[in-house]
Amino acid sequence: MVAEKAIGLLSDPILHKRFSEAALERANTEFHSDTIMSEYEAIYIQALEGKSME
Amino acid sequence: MKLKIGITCYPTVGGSGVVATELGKMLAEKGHEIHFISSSIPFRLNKMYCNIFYHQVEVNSYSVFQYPPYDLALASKMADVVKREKLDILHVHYAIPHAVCAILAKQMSGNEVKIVTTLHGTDITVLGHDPSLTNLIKFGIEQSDVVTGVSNSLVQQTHELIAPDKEIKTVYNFIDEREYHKSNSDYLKDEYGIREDEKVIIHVSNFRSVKRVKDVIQAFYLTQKKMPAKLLLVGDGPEVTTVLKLAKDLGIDDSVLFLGKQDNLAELYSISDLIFLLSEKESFGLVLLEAMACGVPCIGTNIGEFLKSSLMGRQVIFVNWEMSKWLLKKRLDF
Repeated sequence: MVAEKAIGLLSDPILHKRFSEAALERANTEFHSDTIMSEYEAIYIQALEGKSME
Repeated sequence: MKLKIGITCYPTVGGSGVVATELGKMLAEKGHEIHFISSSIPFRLNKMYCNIFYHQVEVNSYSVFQYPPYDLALASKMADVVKREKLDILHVHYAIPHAVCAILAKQMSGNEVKIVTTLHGTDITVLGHDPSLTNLIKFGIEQSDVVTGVSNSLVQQTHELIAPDKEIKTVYNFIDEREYHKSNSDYLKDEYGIREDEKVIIHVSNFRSVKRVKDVIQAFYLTQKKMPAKLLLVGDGPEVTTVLKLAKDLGIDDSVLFLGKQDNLAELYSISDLIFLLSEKESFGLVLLEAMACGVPCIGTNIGEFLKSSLMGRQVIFVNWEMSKWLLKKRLDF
């Protein structure tokens, strides 16, 4: 099954390009370092203010 | 608001050490004052910052101790730094021993430092099954001011195994985009003897049995029967010898390039067409995120709530682990 998926993806340049672009897009938005760092900064502030996490 | 933040992690250990160090660097760039308190200098701390300080924990092996007391030396150093530098936050990675050390340090210092604990996986998924440690992990979590986990599945597992009376917030891991981006590294193909018509599949791990690297070899074996391809194996660990023996037994050792530990992963991802991560268990799967940031499509096993909910999409194809294991055992020819 793994090999089947790999062969399907590697032998179809258009599908491969779509996957590649989607990977870049996802990594650079939801998991962008600025996004995650801001979440930690907010957590530090909330910890200092003694608020529970919501 | 500029904060003084102490960070403790295992400086040389996989994902947690990387994330802790990168977070410290980025917080410093935003103007916060960062104090790393660890047993050695974090390996990713490769640039000078005027507002990053490093406090080394020295563990002495006095004959009176049967085992070197890392945790006590760390707690003592943390208390010193909290008091002297007037830290606002101690952000520790791993519940035990680091959260417990931070709690002790807070009591010793008498300061009102807040403790933020991030759970990364092994402290819960491995140690959480040991009844002799459950209460200590629970204590570390409950006495922290804020607790985070790197995936939804890890947070859920923590509640199931440890049942702490504490809210745990999911904050995903991340990577430094300045380091992980696609670059033109085609010269590497020449250096590794990879032909123009060959596809490149990469696997990066610590080669522990949980990573199922032998399944990676089997999957590659079937793939290269249908198209010219090379497999790059990056990392090192206990399974390397058996993995390379399997490649030899299958007659594909010429197509499997074992590169060992490498620093410039982004360059290797940049010449790769696909990444395989067929682990039995992952808390986050940071290598998938690194590969994705370099535009590499991923084939991974369907191994956790996080990967199911957060990485699901066209960029990652999932394969049910049990099914892939069964199929590979049968050596089915696709």
